[in-house]
Amino acid sequence: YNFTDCDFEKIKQKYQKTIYNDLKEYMNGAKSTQFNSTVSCNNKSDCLAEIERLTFSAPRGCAPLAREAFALRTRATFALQCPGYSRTQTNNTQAAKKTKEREITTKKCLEQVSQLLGLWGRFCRTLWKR
Amino acid sequence: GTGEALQVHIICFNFETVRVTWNVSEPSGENLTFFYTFDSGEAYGQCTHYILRRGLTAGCILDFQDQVLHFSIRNATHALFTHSQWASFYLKPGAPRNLSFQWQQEKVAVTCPGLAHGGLLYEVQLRSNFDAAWQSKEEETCNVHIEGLDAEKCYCLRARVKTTEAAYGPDSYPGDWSEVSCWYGGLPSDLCPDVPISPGFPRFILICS
Repeated sequence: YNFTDCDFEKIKQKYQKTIYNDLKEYMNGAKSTQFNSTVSCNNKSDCLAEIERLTFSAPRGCAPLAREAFALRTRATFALQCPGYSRTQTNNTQAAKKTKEREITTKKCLEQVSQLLGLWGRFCRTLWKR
Repeated sequence: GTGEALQVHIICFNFETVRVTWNVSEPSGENLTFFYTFDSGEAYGQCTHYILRRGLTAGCILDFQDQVLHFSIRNATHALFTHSQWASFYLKPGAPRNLSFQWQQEKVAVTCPGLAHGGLLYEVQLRSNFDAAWQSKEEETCNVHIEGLDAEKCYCLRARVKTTEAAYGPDSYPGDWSEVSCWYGGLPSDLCPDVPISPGFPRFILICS
C-alpha cells in the first residue's frame, strides 16, 4: 500500500494521543534507547510503510504483535486516514481480537517495539508547522 | 550500545552537529578512533573532526542527519563500543533566536522563527516584578500568546524549545533559555524594579492619623 495520500497530521495526532502510550505500556518500563536502532526511514510515507511492516509482521521469537493494542489502533488509524487502505487489508487480516493474557513478551518483541518508537518519532519530526 | 567499559556521551546540538565524547582511556593512554555512518548500507568512515583531551582523542564532532547514527569506537585491535540510535534522540535544541514581542493592553504575543522539525514545544515564561515564580505557557509553534496581564506592571520574559518524548525519545534535553527581556507598559526596559516579595512574609499596614 502506498501511504502518500494519507492525512499525516491526523495520524500524528492519533499517535501522540494514544498509540505512543500503548507502545510505552508494551515496553513496560524498558527504555527504547537501550536497544540499538536497526531500522530507519526518510519521509512521511516511507516511515508509515516501515511502521506497517514492523507492526504487522511477526519476527522470529516474538508472538504476533498484530493483536496488541498499539497494532489495533495503528490499523484503525490507517484505515481511517489513508484512502483505500482498508481494501488492501481485507484478505490478510485474521480475526485480530486482543488477547487477554499477553503471550510471552520476549526481548525480541521489546526490540521490535523499540524500532517502532524510533520510526514513529521520525514520522513526527517530519511534520512541523511553519 | 555494546562494550559498556567505555562511558560514552552523545548530544545533538540544534539539529546542526552531533558530539560523541568518551572517557579518555588512562593509564593505557591509547588513542581511540571513531568510525560511523548514517546509512546502514554503507561502510563506516572515520571521524574527520576529533576532540582531543591531554593529547588523546576524547570525542568526535559530526554533521547532523535525522537518521540512525551507527558508530564504533576502536582501539588498535578491536571495537570497544558500538551503538546505533537516532541522532535526534540526543537532541538539545538551541535557544530561540529573533524573539519578537507584540503587546496589546493585557496580552502579549511572543513569536520567533520555528525550527524545521516537528515534535517540539515552544515554552515562554513570564514573571512580573510582583511574582516570585515564573508562569509558563507552551505551544507547538513559536507563536505563544499570554493573556490576563496588568498594563501597569513590569514583566520579564524568556523562551526555550523543548522536545516531546513521543518524537525524540526519553534521552533528549530541553533547550537553553533565551536571554531574559523586560517590558514596562509595552516598552522594553532594562530590568523590572524589584518589589521584594517573600512569600509567607506577613505584611503590616501602618495607618497614622
